Amino acid sequence: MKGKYKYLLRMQLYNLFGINRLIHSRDKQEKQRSAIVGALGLTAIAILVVYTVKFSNSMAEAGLSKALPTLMVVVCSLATLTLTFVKSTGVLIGLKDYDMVMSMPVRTISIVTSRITMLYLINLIIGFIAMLPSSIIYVVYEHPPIFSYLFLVGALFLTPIIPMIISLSLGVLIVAVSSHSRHKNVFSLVLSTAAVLMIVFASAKTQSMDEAQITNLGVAMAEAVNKFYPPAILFTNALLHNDWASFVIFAAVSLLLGIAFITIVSHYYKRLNTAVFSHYAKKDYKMGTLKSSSPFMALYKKELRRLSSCTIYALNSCIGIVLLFVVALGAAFFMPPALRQQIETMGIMSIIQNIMPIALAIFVTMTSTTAASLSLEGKNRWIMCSAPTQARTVYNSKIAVNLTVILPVLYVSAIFIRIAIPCSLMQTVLLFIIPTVYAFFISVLGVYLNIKFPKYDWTSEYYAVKGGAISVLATVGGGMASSLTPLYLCIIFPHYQMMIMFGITCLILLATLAIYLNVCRTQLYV
Amino acid sequence: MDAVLEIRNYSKVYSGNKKAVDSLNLSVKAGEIHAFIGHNGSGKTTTIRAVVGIMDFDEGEILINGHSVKDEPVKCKSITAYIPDNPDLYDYVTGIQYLNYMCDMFSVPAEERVSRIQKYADVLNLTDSLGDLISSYSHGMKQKLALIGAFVHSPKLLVLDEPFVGLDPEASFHLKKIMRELCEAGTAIFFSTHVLEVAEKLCDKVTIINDGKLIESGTMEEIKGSHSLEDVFMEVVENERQV
Repeated sequence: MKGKYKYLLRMQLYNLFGINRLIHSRDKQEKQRSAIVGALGLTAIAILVVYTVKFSNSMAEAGLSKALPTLMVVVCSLATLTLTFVKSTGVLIGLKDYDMVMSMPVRTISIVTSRITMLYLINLIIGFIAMLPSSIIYVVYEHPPIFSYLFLVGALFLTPIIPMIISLSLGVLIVAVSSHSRHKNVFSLVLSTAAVLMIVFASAKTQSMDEAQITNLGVAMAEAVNKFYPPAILFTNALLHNDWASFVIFAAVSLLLGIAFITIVSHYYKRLNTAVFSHYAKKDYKMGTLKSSSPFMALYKKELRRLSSCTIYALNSCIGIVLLFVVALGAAFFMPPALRQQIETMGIMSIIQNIMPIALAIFVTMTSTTAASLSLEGKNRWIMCSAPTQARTVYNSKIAVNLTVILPVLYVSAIFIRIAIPCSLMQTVLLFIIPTVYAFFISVLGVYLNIKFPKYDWTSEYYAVKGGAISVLATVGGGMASSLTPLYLCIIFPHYQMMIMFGITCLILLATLAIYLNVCRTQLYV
Repeated sequence: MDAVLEIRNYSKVYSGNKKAVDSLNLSVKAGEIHAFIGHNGSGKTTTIRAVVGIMDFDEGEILINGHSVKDEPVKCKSITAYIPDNPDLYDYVTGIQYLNYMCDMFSVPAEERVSRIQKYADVLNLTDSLGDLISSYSHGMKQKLALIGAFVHSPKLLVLDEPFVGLDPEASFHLKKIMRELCEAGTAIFFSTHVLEVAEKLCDKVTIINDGKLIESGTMEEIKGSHSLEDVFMEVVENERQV
């Protein structure tokens, strides 16, 4: 088993971060793309490491270095929990190479283990980014006994396991439940969105508890961790009280959970995949009338079907606008009176009123169906390329879908925000106009970057939507930078808020037009 | 009779300066079935992809009904139907949604599309499954659906890449029959195949390509004479290798 597991894992590693492609491709453009992905990835890692070091250092300087181990376990666990959930089914179930892999003389448990090992390795990188800098700072400030180093190294390797298994279990459970439904994609999308919202709000709740009790962070942390995540307390006990038993339990629980999950999924792997791949066929179609549409409408309807048929695509590209809706709804109808009073007494209401359009734009720039829409054509792209229509019409249909996703939800959310926060007429108008400009910008930017960096040769939609898809990374990065920059400028130059917002919105509008004209000139080839 | 498809000095160079196709010339007239044969990697698919406007090319000119594929791609595509060797279709739509989509894209009048779809779907025995998702189709069913999607807009030029691969004998028989009917109605058909017996029985003209270069082109009688097409193909390719 071990030998074949090794081959399966090696084959997956070839696909990881496009390393094999970078080594063997003779295509210069391909190499350039891989280099850009690598550079972006390394930059993101560097930013995260710097952020973690600064945060850990300031905590240690404030005399809270003892809280660092707990904090790093919590951060690593939350990051793993969220990121694994988005990948869970795309990496484990319903892969395009399922038939090929399952037809090989290899045990199912080897296949499942190789897939989970791959996920574990990715999570390990996240874990190292979240935990290694804090561990070093903890060692520098606390000078723990020598065997504590063993606990720290052990925690680096063990911490991602439990959250990874929780996320994977949730993902597999959703697949198992929704696969019995005829409308399994919609069902799976609803369940997955609910799960992501739960994870995001649970993590926000943990963070808000810490900030509220910032003066006694250690106690607040311990309470939060006790409440939400018991494995972290085991590790904290081991490290702070030299408690070997706690560490052994932490390690044993992590490993046993991993083994149990692999065993159970291996047992049901074939059944789960059969459920995913099997389709409801009535074979009773009778020809009726057919409604005709223009090429644009035909493409637009097809794009909407694509979005609703692929959970990972919808979840990943629309979560920003869903979050906005939930936050706006909460602000309008569930805002605690104490918080409203606090905002008014602190005198920051006018700042909030002014920057709210940009705050909405941040959520908008997190929403781009267009960044992966061309890549998702995959092997179907011959249909799009051979159709007798201008490339511009194809791009317009993809842009229209993103606007359809964003604009109605944005306007309803803006109304909720207006209910929650009293605004002048001008502020209210801007609340609608500025995020609309950003909606057009992110839609056009997504198409432009996807034309420049398409990823057609995916084995699972996950790799077109996430998994190092450069167009998605660059679109979300560029979009967030375009909305966070004016927000930052508004905060440091409060007297020029209106000028900054007008100026940057005009720039964004001009950039949108320029990018769109460029997109319209681009031909489509396979 | 004017050529519906005319390829003049077409060349395609991939990265690394290897010429996948080198100065290819051929023409297909209305009502003509033209077979395009050659080994794997000889440049057939590269040529076909350039003809249907889904791949850019470096040298030469490709004209469909007198319009340049490079300069007027939409005009050319609107009278061309294409089916690739392995037609991947949208798995997330039903068969009828796909066909209606193709009708919309090729501007088939609303009043005609039902009868056209019905005609071909009945012949290819696919009508009952049109309401099901394409993901539930077998490989052969997908191929039949792609064929209906190609026939439904009555193209002037039909370009098929290995159309007989994966079809059951009955569907294969009906495809040949439909190809002849379209041909009689004035459609020009250009298709690649490895099944030389089919090419021999079905086609008026044949072009043999090897290593990106045209080896032989002409009417079936001119090319094969009293021999079988298979014998001629093997001999011609062997001679080329020795050269």
